[in-house]
Amino acid sequence: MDRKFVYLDNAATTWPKPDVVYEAINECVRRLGANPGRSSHRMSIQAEQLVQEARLLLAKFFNAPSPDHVIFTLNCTDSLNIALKGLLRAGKKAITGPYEHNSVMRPLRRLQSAGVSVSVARGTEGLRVDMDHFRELCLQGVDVAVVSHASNVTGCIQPIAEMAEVVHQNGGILVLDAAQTAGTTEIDMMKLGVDVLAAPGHKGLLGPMGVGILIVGPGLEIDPFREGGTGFRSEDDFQPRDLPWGLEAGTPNLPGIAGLAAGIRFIQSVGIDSISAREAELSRALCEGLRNIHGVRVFCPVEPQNGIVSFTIDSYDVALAGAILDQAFGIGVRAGLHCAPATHRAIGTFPNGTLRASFGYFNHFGHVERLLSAVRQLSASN
Amino acid sequence: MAHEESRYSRQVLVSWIGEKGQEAIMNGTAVIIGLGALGSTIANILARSGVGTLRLVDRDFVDWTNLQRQGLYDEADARNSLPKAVAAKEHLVRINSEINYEVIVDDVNPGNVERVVAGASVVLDGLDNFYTRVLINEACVKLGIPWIHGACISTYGTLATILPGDTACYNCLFPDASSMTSPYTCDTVGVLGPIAFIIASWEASEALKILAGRKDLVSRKLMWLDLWKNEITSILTERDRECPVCAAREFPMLQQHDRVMTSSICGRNAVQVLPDVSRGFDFESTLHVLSRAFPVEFNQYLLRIHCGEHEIVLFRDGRAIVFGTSDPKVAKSLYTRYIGG
Ligand SMILES: Cc1ncc(COP(=O)(O)O)c(C=O)c1O
Ligand SMILES: [Zn+2]
Repeated sequence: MDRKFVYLDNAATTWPKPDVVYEAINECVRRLGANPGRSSHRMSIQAEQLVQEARLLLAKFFNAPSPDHVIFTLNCTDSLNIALKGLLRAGKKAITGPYEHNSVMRPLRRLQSAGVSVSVARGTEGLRVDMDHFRELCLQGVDVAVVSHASNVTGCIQPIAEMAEVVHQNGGILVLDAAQTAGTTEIDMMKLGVDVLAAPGHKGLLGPMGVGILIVGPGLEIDPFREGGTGFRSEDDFQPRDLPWGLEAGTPNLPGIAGLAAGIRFIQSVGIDSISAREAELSRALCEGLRNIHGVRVFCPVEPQNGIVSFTIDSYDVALAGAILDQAFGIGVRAGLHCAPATHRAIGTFPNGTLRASFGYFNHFGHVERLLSAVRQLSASN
Repeated sequence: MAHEESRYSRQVLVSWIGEKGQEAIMNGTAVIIGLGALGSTIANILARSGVGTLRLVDRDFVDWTNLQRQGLYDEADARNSLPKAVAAKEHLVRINSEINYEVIVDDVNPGNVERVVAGASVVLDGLDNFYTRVLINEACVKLGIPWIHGACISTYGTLATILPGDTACYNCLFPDASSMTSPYTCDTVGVLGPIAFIIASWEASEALKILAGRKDLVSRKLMWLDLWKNEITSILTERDRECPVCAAREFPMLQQHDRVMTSSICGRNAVQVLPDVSRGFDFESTLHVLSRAFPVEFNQYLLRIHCGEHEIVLFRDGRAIVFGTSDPKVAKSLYTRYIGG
């Protein structure tokens, strides 16, 4: 058996990255070591050009209103916190879905205790948001609806365009948590009707950890909670409102941004459709195989839409099975709640959670086979 | 104070202590790391001796299996699962209210060990694992603090006094200790009460010499004692001229991450313990030792034991998942007690 470690945890962060990403980071740290947008010497200007180009690239990639509305953050959690805490205050109404990550739920619960009303839409058997219930909640008033594009537990993609329409009809805005789709599923902000988009740079977009993005739709006011140096309107004692500076105080993660830009160029060169198709194919093969193993339950849409597959093995506790897959079979999957307890409540796997295999562009059918063979042995052993 | 006669008078009468020695003891600070069988007896003796400040350090909580030999605790402490350091202080204050106590309920690791021993006149070993001793040795040698190593299991025990820069250090004596684990622990092969009391008393006596300013009187040998076989052995120890700790002063373990890492299991009342068993983990002998002491369930991937309200699942590479707690300190402590340290 090939004893090389098989990494199947790409939903947590993708690995490996394309070589061009490593090279771009290296190049940036070695040759563009100046602080972008702060000084007028040539190296600072070059650094600023890199940031500007990355904004432009991202704006086009997601069909955003303007590159100035692309904000660089730390990760998707940071983006969601900036958006939710900057949009919602006492008296406002927020609606969310049943399959949210703690990076949505925890800010919302905190805001709820500060006087924001928070409603949670129900889910359906098919792992999707119950649109009738969602509509009903919106009719009672909505300022901000925040939902994940795809669940990080089941991979199921939500009907975002339909939800955005309902939210807009009722005067609200839609914040999209694209943690599990950015870079692997086509996202057109205009077409989907997404007002604010939050995404990590280190997952499907193939950048390094430590960089995320927030794209703010036109005319939206997000109050910053982080204030400081922007290299712009420095004479003013108050944080400027102009984007992107208004939401980007402090020195940015330039090497991260360079790596992220290289990741996006890589995706463009391969084609996002072929990335989607490849990951879905691997998931389909895994689901089929798992469904044929006695005592294994699969939690994933009938037709997998991306690289995420959750499952449980009846004869083994989830945490134990995860540890055995790692140490006896050399396979890295994630076991537990995946920071999304609400999802597990909705699909009936709380509190133990599930095993989650998640594929990236660099996985192949050999990896699916390795996992299937391990699960077969495991389920036969107890 | 209106005592008829000083509470320390009998100790002062011992010729090598005297008034001056007693005064030094009362100005001294002793740090006791680990408050199990050894540590609780050491604390009892040193509190009665009037050591100025006792710093009591333990990450553990009192349970019923401790009462047989851990002389400071009682049933109420076990019922309330009090932290050992807290319970120890409560009892000690009733024994001697005139000295200072400092309580540290924490795991000793590379991040805090220097703070734990800082300012001590002497440090005493009440531990149950090699790794923490290695850390204490490095910290004490680095800061020039004398420390006393003591250990016991089954019917035998051992003792060595370490004067940094003078005697052999713990690394000179046991150069492999940092990468050792042994499945032989008090919780797997047992320990006789008396051996613990003897080793503890011996450690306390060495500490009193140091506290009283008589370092010249400490043992310069590695002592070994078996009560069942009535054997006492001693080995003259020698410093290793190339010791990375006391000669090269490199202190390698102080600079590494904690050798026993833990990770919590998302959403579960369970903690994964990930020891760095650099020499490979001996699953078979652990299984062998454990299965003589407990009912053990096992298959080709794992073994499982139940201990009180906890359950430990051990994998072949030495990692374990401890169910029934979300506290990494508790998980590490159970690992050390049942799987080895
Ligand atoms: C659905 C979802 N939202 C948000 C996040 C948070 O992303 P990050 O780790 O970049 O903060 C994740 C990451 O696991 C996720 O899966
Ligand atoms: Zn030495």
